[in-house]
Amino acid sequence: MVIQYKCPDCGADMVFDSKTARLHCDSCGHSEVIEDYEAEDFQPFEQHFHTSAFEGGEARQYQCNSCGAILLTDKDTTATTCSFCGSPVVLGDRLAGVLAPSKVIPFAISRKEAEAAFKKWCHHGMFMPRGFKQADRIKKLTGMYVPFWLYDVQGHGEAFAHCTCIHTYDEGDVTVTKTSHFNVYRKVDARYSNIPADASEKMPDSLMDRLEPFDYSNMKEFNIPYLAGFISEKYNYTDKEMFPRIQQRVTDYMKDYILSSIAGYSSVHILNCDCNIGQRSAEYVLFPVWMVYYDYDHSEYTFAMNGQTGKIAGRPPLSKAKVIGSAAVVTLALFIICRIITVLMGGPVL
Amino acid sequence: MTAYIKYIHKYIFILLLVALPCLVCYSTADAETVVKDDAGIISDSKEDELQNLCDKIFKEYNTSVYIWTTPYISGSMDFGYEMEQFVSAQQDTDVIILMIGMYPGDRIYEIQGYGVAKDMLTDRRCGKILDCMHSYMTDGQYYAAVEKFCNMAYTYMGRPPKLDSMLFSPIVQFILCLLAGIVSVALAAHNSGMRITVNSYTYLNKNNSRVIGRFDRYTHTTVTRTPKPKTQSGSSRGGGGGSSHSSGGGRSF
Ligand SMILES: [Zn+2]
Ligand SMILES: [Zn+2]
Repeated sequence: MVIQYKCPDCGADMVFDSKTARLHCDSCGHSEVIEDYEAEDFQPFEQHFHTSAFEGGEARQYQCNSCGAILLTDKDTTATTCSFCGSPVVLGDRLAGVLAPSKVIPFAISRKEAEAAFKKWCHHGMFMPRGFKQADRIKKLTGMYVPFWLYDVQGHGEAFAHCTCIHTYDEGDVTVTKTSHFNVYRKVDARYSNIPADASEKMPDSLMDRLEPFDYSNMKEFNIPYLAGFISEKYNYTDKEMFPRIQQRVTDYMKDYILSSIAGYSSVHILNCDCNIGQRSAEYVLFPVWMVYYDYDHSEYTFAMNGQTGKIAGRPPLSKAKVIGSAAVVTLALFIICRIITVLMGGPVL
Repeated sequence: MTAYIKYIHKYIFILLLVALPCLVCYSTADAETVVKDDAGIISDSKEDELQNLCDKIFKEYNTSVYIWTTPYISGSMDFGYEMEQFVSAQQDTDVIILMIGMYPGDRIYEIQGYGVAKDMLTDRRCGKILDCMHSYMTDGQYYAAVEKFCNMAYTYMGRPPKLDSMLFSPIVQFILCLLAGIVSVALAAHNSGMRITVNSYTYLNKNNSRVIGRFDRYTHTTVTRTPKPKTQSGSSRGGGGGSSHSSGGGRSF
């Protein structure tokens, strides 16, 4: 089931436009409101091709409606462009049933804006080698809807702590330190909402985690036209499979929460903290990510940009000279400040 | 013509400006500094050199330096009082005095600071100078010891005592700044492009989260008593709150 959106006026391909959040025809400027597309509304555009016997969508073949070529897709692809004619295509059957996302955050940053933002980021990078900043060699810029699970979790936590209150005062020539010891206990219920976890095998978790936070106020009910013109994949891991990652994360969050409820002591030493985290619900959502593949010095660097907020994650190369130089500048600046303070207090310059 | 007169005025003014302090210094410097070598342990030729060192302190900090050696004062005497008497016989109020008592078998040396010098040459600093002089004194290199005293007194007069802390030493400051610089830049470089921008509370649902059980049970109190660190270096005489001067406490040699 290949879905393509043809312009009703001129017949060209329509793609999602991040500026207007509508389907847009680049040829004639026609645009359509996505919310109007009910499930049955895109029936006229969809066509069934080659229903093979392969199950699980492993090696199913799809054919482009525009040029008739066989679409080269891997098993996870749900949206892509035809490699022959460049038409945006959505593979509808891979977005149906259990694979149907419930929500989507549409792209708010266009390809042009993403490219400009990335160049600006490189330009401002403190420790990047000069060549990297100027090379300006974006090999590939891919707009991608990445599958995430959005978890709602309930945590129960218990902690025992040993706390002290230290009170110091002078008694003649003697300094008296009084330390009061307390046994402290806290039991908390904590609810966490909409914690995202990247459910795609290909996307590095370290990059995806650093794209957070996403702004959920612009999250929409999923609708296939949002994918037109972008790459999209289905999840590789179920919400149950991803949950241990969330548990680990929420355990740390809960420790902070419990600590924040123990106030007014001079020292707090947690003896024992036991957190139990249960899943309330998980939603399958698609989040917009611009993937930037950048060539520099014979190697490829991968960066990810939050397609909604523009936040960039990824390890740029570091220039040794710049790192050492910066350390020297910081040291010198701090040292000058120290000496100025010393001189202001009546000391010598050196 | 008018311009010419104006220049003359300027020249006279500048001349006065330069000459006046010199005149003042010249007329008073010798009179205010006394090297009184009753014990005869400093050769006369060296006395002039000492005088120059003392003049330097007077010129810059307006504080007189007395160096008094005497064979009549011993460590078992109230040498602090004797020094006070010596100073009160002079006219100055801002005074540094070094006394070396050469009484056979009971030799002593001591430093006191009066007026401005009381604030600048604190008990601790006096003690420190005494300690630095000690090896010279036991070796009998009296001139070297006194020279050390003059140089240290000069340094201390130009630096408030609160700056004695290691934290104000340029080397210590530089090392600390270097560490701070390396750590901060290393952290920044490590985090470049990889900063996490959510925290423990980003996803917390505050309305549905609360503490449902708690206690804070007091168990016991421990008390420790530590004597306050002494501000003076073991002085039995002089020093103290209402004293007119600071002192190093004296050292036998
Ligand atoms: Zn059109
Ligand atoms: Zn095609």
